[in-house]
Amino acid sequence: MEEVYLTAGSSESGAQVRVESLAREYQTKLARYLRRMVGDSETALDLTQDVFLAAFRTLQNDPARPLTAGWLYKTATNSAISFLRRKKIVRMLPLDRDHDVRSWRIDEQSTISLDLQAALDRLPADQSSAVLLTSYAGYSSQEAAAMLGTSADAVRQRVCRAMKTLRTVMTE
Amino acid sequence: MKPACARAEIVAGAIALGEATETERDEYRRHIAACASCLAALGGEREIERIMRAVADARDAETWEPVVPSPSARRSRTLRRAWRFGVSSAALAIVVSFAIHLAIVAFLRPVSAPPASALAQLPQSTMRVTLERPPAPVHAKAVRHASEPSIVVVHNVITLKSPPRATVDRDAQTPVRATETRVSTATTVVAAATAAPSDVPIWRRDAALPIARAPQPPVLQGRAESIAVAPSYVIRDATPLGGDTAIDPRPPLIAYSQGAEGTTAFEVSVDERGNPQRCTITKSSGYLSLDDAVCAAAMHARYAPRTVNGRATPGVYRDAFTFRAQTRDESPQVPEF
Repeated sequence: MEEVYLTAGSSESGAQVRVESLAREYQTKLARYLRRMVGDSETALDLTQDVFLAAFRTLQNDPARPLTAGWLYKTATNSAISFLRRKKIVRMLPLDRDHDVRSWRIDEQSTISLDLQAALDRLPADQSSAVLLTSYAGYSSQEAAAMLGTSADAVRQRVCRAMKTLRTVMTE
Repeated sequence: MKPACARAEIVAGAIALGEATETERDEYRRHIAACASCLAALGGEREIERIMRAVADARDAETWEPVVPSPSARRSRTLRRAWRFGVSSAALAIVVSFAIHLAIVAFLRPVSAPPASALAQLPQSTMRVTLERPPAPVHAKAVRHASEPSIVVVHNVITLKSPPRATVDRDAQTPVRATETRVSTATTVVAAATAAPSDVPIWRRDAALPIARAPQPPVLQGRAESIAVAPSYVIRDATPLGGDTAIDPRPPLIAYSQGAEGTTAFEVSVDERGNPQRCTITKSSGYLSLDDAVCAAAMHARYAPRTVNGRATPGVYRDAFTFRAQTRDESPQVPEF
């Protein structure tokens, strides 16, 4: 895999510049989004780096391709979902996600933040990605639907179901 | 789920995202007014907005600003690391293989085994030697390797003891030896071997032997203040816990191929909790592998600490193991000295 980058010639620098500008702009947003998805800072950083690596590869193969924020979020969502699936297979024990949240910065451990994370941990990945892409990342239901490959109504429905769980957690 | 309720979920999602039109909001109000389950599950418009505001608040409260290493930096770093790792591991492999060769050469030429009279050369001033011959090969067990000649391990053939601690009563008339019974066996070196065979292993013999006590002071007749109270010491030395296999040396395979033989005497300092602290070889068998195996086993064991009047104190446990080389068909034998 790594040799591919070495043999890439002049397009490498162009791809590199573009990816670095993308990273400057979106690394914080993507890392926060992924941290909410997987519940763990370290994993979120790894996945974020994977997203930019994927962007780099894509730009090398097709330098003319426009890479939008939507593409980054879509890739991030897919990598998070596949990570969660792997994690589910690997870990037979019930997940103790509270431990992951405890590793967050102390000023982010507010009740609301912890409640949100507790609710997101209970949700299936499609619901958590829907609610995070819309209310958290600020996309409309149509944009989120394009990223997730569904319809806008399906996204609204997932947001509504996620909200039900969140409401249960917050009133507990 | 009823179609009206499914529709209400979608509309509630639109309200949550702030995308609902006024007609949709009306539609939702009418639905929850009629449908108690949806009202209970979703709540009114205000409730939905409150929850979504909580999500936005949680997002706005976040301060984490990670710096993700750029993929190109990661790539070059990975490559550099791989190159350095390859070079350094190759160099390491060369050094390690050379060291292994040296170690094998050194190991195959064992330290010359001590002569049979080595026991006599032990410093008599600080230690006494007691020979105790086990009655039958009850405590001897054969450690066999599949096709190689095996080694017989005989427990407790030699016990090296420091001179017993003397305790003196208040009047200093008769020095009372704490381990009096042992002293008698220790002075008659060869006689003890034939005269006192016992089935009790040496580390359990404390229980069998009468515990040395200071003699009770004579009961004095007369006034109460003249009754002397002599100090009384009950000492139990540190002993390993777990019976015959408490200390179970496993010589490495190289000892088998060398046909290693010899007696290893060792002492373990045991702290007041019964944990072994340090193992010292007081007499080497001549083979590093055997000595190491004995000390490793001794450090692995647990001990009952030395007690003085029931109070645990740091103590020393001394013992010895004799290894004999044995061909496959030979039955285990008691070692001879």
